[in-house]
Amino acid sequence: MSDNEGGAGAPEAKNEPITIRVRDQTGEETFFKIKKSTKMSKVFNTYAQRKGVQMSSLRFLLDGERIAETMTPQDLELDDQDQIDCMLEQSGGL
Amino acid sequence: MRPFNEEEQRSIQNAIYGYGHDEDIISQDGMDSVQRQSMQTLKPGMWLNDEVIHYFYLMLSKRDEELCKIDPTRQRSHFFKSFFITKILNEGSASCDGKYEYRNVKRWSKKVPGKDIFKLDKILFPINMGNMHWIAAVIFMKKKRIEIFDSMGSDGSRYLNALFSYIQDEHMDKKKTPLTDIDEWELVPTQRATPRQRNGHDCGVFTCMFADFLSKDTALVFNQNHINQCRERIALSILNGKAII
Repeated sequence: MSDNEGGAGAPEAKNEPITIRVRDQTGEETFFKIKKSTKMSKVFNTYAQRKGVQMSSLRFLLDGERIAETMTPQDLELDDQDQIDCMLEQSGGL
Repeated sequence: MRPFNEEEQRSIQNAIYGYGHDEDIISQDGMDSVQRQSMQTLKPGMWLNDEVIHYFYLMLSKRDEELCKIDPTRQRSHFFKSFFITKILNEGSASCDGKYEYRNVKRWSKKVPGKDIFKLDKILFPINMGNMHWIAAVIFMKKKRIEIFDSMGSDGSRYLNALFSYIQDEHMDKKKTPLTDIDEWELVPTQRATPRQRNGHDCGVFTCMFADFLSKDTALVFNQNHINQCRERIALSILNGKAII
């Protein structure tokens, strides 16, 4: 996306922090305030630590697709108050 | 299914049995990846996790894209993740576990080829049941048929109903009109001829193979005896970055 697009009513500075909501399967939401240029890995690691679970067992999704750790909110076109889903690893054999 | 050559055998063995850290990334494609510990679930007798199944479905999607380039009359299919059903049925929710809610997946079709599910040929879903069992569901958009493929034989009616509601809600939301001809649609539980597992660990492999065969319009001509070879087929597809034909 071009930085010049701006659009009406979007006066915010390019790297002003935004709040991202992480919603887990139970419906609980955790809020993170981060800069648009910060890698999502920072959010994921903090989240896993707070919940006391292994990062490798968590799946972070935006509109149903995995979010890579190296992406930033800017890459993902996340806006203030946007929500991402945090799902748990699933397994099965029976 | 074709046999593998020596070099392929070696890379399969190395990927499934090789030593290294659990979190090592064995394959990566865009946003999706497979860690070593997930790859190791392809050893005979082990339960598959979501990462392997989703990555294999992504490989099927790559193959589908290529098949559509070769044959312009062919329409694209889409492969959702198992979290689609988890979300649409609020599975695990503290307040409304099991309740159908379209809103939870309303934006997911943005990632569909052409951003329109009604232009697709098929939509394929892996479904995880209670962190115990894997099954597949397919919406045949052109044939107006939704079918469950469960290697344990359950009818999967709650998933059939949820997916039928989904296409109706999606039509209303994106096209602003109700889906017409709803009485022409057929909801089909697992059929007697659907291949069955004969043990307590291979359902994930069946779930991959259902999608593999159905997405290239082939009859489900495999059974339990082929499953360990199928595990290798999944591994090789993941390593090659595209499902093998």
